[in-house]
Amino acid sequence: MSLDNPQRSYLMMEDADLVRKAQQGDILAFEQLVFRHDKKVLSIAARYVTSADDAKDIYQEVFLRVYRGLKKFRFRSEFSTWVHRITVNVCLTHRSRRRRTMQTLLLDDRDEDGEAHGEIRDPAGGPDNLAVDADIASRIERALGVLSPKQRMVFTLRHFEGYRLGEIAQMMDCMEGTVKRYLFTATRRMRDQLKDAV
Amino acid sequence: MTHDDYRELLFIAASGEIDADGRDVLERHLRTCEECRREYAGLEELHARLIAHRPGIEPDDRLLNQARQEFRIALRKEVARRSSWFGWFDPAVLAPASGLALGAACTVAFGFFLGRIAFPPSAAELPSPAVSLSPAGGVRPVEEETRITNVHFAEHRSGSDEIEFTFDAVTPVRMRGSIDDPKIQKVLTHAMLNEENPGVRLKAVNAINRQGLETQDVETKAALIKAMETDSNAGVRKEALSALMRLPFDAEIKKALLHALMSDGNPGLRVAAINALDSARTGALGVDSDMLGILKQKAETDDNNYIRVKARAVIQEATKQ
Repeated sequence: MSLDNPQRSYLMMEDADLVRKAQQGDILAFEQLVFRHDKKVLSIAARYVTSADDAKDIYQEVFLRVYRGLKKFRFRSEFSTWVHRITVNVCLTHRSRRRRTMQTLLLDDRDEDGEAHGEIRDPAGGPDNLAVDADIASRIERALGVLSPKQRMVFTLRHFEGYRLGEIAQMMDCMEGTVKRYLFTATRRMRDQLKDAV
Repeated sequence: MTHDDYRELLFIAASGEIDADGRDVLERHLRTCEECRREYAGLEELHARLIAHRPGIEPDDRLLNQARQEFRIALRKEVARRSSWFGWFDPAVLAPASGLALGAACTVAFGFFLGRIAFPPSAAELPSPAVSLSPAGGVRPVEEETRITNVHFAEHRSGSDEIEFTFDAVTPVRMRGSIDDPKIQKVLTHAMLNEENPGVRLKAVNAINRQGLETQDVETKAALIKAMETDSNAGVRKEALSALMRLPFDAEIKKALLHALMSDGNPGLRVAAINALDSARTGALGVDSDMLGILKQKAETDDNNYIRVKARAVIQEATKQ
């Protein structure tokens, strides 16, 4: 283990210093960065997907992408913002990958951004089962399945993770107005889907 | 403002993003519009339900630890992959000129490959699989096959029938000797840090832990610290911590223990780290501001009750002194 200044612990270093060290190949500095930011990454992933394995896959993919891209990081944004942006991208791709393989999805129309979204068909057999489903969390989960990946991501970040619209816009690399539109549509759809439960 | 504008304001308010001016406008409208009042109440209820019944998986410590450990294994592979030939193709380091050279080399290699397909060598031209090797040093090769990798041909001299090349010969080696032998220690240290199998890494740390304290060198200590901080297996990390605690306590070991206390996902290892720090607290290094800061953080935020209580006790004792 080599430190420029052994008196200064990695634990006390700023992100930017750790990034510089990690860019020079210091793996301990990189691991320290992971430890600092991984809870948020896992939290976003775990709220976005529905299985622990998916959440762990996303976690791993995010930090491998961070590791691979670290040399190109030019400090134009906070390191945390960059990590969160990668997290959002990985989540969206992950979701798309799953959607391609999910045979239960019916693509019925396109939203205002031309994105495909659809109704998740109840695996147990139709809307009647949905109506009698007593588990509200499960109904919310189903309702989220109706949203497009970007709508779902914005909705998750705002309502379940508590990010402000401006922060979400940074993470998704788009305008705040676009985020607002996604959220508006997502909320409307969620309310429609949950009108019997709310 | 149109009714749709007010509906958008309602949604912004329900999302908690409305500013003071917008709130005033909306409140005035809500006093007079029954439909919007109902809409707003519905949105607020939806929001409350969503918060109370968050979907997805709970990102708890158990999941975090699993994710970290799986990532460590993936990272180890990634580092190994990048440090081998893949590093050549890193666009950040590949200059345009070297890219051209690489392209030319690839073209030549591809042409050679095509030539070999079109005109395959006769059996007489093929090299003999039997290779006689005499390894250097005091190690005895086991009578098994030697693996040959990384064959590189030297430039061929025209008119000569001699050929020259280099290669790496990987031969299984059996070693036996005292655990205090520096050569044995070197192999153990390498195994502790690089073996894929966690059982082998654990045995290597165990073996190091058994050796006499006087023979522990700087390299072994650094390897133990690295194992404690980065090994994906909690058993290996714990054994490395035990081995470190048999060494004279110094600033490096203290820093490594603080790292474990701060960052390790395994509560057992964090407990061992805080206990070790507590027992070493009375020494010359004492409790400095870095350590105090970490202890305060652990006293407030650690998920493990013992660690929170212990951290408070250590802080209390330290501030008394």
